[in-house]
Amino acid sequence: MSTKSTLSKVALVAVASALIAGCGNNGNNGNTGTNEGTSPSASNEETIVLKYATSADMASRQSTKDLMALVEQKLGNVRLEPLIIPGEGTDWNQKVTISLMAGDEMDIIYQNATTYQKFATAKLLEPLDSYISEDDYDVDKIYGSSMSTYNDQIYMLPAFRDVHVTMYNKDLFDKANVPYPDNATYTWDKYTEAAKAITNVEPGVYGSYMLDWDNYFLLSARQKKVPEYKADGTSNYDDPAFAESMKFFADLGNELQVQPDMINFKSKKMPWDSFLTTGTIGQFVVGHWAVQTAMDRTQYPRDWKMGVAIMPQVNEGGKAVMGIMGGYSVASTSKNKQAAYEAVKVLAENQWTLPGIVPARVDLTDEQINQVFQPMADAFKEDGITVEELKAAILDPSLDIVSEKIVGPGMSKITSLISSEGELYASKQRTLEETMTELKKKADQAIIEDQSTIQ
Amino acid sequence: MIKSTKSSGVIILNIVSILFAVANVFPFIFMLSSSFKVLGKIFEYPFRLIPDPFIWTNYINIFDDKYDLLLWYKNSFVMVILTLAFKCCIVCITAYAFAKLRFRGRDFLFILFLSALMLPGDATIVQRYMIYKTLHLTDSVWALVLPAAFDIYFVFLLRQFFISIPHALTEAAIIDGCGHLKVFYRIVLPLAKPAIVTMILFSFVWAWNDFTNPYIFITDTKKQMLTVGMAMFQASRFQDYGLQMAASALALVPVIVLFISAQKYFVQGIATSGIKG
Amino acid sequence: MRKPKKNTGWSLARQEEMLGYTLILPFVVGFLVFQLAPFASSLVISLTDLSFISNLEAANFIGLDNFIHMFSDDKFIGALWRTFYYVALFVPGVITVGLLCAMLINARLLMRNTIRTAIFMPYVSNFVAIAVVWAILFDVRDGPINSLLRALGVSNPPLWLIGEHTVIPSIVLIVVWQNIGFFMLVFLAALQNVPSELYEAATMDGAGRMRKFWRITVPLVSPTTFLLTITAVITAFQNFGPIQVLTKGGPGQASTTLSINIYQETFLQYRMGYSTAQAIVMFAIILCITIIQWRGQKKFVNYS
Repeated sequence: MSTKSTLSKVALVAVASALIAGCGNNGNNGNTGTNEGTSPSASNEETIVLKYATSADMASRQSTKDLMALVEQKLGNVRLEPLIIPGEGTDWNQKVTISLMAGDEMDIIYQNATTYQKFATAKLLEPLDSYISEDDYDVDKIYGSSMSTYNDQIYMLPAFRDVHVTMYNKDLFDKANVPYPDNATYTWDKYTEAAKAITNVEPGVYGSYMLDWDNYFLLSARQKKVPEYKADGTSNYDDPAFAESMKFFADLGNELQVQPDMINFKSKKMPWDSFLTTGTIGQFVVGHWAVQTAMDRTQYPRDWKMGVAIMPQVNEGGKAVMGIMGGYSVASTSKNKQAAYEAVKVLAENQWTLPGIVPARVDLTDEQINQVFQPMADAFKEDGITVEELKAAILDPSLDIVSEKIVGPGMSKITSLISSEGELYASKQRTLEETMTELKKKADQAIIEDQSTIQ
Repeated sequence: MIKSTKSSGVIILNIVSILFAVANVFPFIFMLSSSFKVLGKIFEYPFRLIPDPFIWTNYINIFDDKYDLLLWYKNSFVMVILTLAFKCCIVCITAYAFAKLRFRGRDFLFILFLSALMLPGDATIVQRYMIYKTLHLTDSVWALVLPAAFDIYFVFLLRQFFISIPHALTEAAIIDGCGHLKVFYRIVLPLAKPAIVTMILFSFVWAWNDFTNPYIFITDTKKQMLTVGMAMFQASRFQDYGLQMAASALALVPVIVLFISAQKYFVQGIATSGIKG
Repeated sequence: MRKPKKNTGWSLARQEEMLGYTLILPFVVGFLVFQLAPFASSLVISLTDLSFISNLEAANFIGLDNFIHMFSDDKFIGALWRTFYYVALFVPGVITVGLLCAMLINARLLMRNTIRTAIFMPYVSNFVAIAVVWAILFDVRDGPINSLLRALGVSNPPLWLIGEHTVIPSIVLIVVWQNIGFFMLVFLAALQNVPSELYEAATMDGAGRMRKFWRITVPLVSPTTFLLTITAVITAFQNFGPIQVLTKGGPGQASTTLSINIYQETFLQYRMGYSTAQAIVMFAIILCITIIQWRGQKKFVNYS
């Protein structure tokens, strides 16, 4: 009897396993359905489907859909299919990396100037130089200084730029009797003075707000373009300029008390958009993507007027603003590299036509540039922000864009070190000297570790 | 005299346990309350129980067409039911074998299997992705169900329970001519009901709340689970706590329902009559 | 009495053995595919210098270099100590409180069903919600805990999750609190297996509460305690999720335990060979602890 029931058990398991195997395959067939449609030897009459890796947020925006439609229209035989990768930032990168390493097929990937280097070294991105030269595509003329290369190769076509600006609350400036920031002359000193005056307006009001990202710890040092690597390849954080920036940032919260100090900020897990949601913050220096976000009045209703000005400078009349380029790359696992390249070109050339995007291209006419800012100015009509103001703060040719993040060996680790070490200093658990020494030591270690793995 | 000290002790215990219970429920209350609050008011201090203004927008936004909330709910349900079905069968028979049957290499194999718990899943993500991809499991619910079904942890848990069922009981049945499997069905399983219910309850919770695995192994949004789907709510704004709290509250509902309905199994005592004689 | 069954040629012992192997067969297959294969590949990877940023073909076999390097790596050593600290706080914490709660519930107090449900709630809640609530509680300036401490005269209340020296205990507090539900429930199931006649008999013999606890409860519950201690150790080591949500390893490196370090090495510095080697070391440590406990089981665990 026991043998019989044993046998029936075994049979059950066998059947179950067969079912599993069957179901597994069915699931896969469903998934590769779209892939089947893109045979590598597709003639140009057949529609080529390109998988465009993007985040859930981007994919849901009307502007993204418009952009994809634009690309399809210009190229004719191509269809863009969003491949939605959940998550943001590091999570998104992690999932994309795992996917690509496992050989998942993707065609177009969004990148920015500080994320693509790792992908490139991992041979997950396709170098575009050969496509560009075959095409006689004049990247210098179109993109100029927005282009970046890695190991002397081009991996990304820049589509838009993001530049730091000062967002300010006009109502609070009025109450404190402080003149609005002037694009030609705004400095950190003036910023601090304004912050002090505003903080005094009433309790609970802060004149300044900053986050705990690495760029905030090193504002003036990066604006002054102090190199973060020495000539011998080690880190340069013993340069006093860096200590000075750190002190400035910490003092705003601890000494001058014009912004939430690090202890409060971290303890209360203050969100990045406090400036927009509370109305009790006078100034917020941040990438202008936040301005774009503020355009959405339903998500961020306000009953106060906002202004946008240039990022505060070290010296009066300075034009150094932190910024970063975003763009598109072709994945090395793509089976339609030529078509993907074409699509990337169209994306890079045309993304600026969408509202709120600032082009990376440098060859646009004045009229076109006004076209960039008009929709933004329109969205901010009630606030009284003009096209001129936006231009001066974001896209003026006189602006000198400095990288908001470090680029080079160990960059990811160093970026996180700046925040984590700086945080200990700003929350008064370390002295400034200790912090800078630790930072230099750990940054040097990160550089060595990074270089030992480069093939 | 003795009576009064005894009852005052009991009163204190009661108070302590009630306070403790309140402390434990607080996050849930917080979550529920926040889900009806405007974002700016969620961190308002001191904590306000009844939101002012009281908004439904978070819940309305969740059901927006942009998100496939109902689809994700369904996907999660299907995944969990499948997981439980496979898991129960496989875990029960395996645990019984390790607990009551004697065979060569038994203890060695058990420790070997147990060691599987000790390698952190996060360290093997990339390898697992590649293995599952080769088996054509990626982007399907089976990438979640199958690994979970072979869960050594509950084999361990059930084994401990089966072991504590007195040998006397099972031996008597075998001498009476019952095959091992009958002993399994008729005697051991019913006695281990609390343990099995525990397994079902926790397997449900773990599968239902699992984020990392669906995140990595499922790509198609339409096949995605509730946990990951909900994370996409924060896509349009980082840290939209209101939306997140609303989604979390909804996600909790099945778990609470399951738990409440499973209550009675924990209350049942074990029939002790079988042991004597 | 029935006649013993005619056997089919195998002895009873052999039959039992074959049944045993058959029953565990499905699990063995699953184990090979889902646990052994990734483990084996991890083992192989840990002997290479694979970095995330190169394809598998370009990785070089470097033998035990990764393991040797670990012991001169400050980051690794620091992470190791922090992990031990975390485990030493977590395991006793969760076992004691779990058992106490189970005993509380078992003791037929008021509203035990409701209370039991309440204790279970944190376990099933979204951890992000829990993190948010505790962030508020632990708020250094205005949070209720520190406000209370200040009212009681403490001049410099702790920085909790922001403080270098207080962050690990704070995290352990939160995670223990969340896990009590699970441990309590499993202990409860075990407690209910203890026949009440034993307690009654002991009371009649004049045994006090403590005596009953140590002589009856603890031994009879010991198989479960054994299980839960192993569980607690393993859970403690795999603390990546909670720490990543609460502090991401900060402030500075103060809560960078081994699992966080492994994550950072993999996804921030792209040194997969090295990080996998660390994971193997972590595995070995847990295995040793478990084997020690397994051996100790013979002394401390009472199987009727």
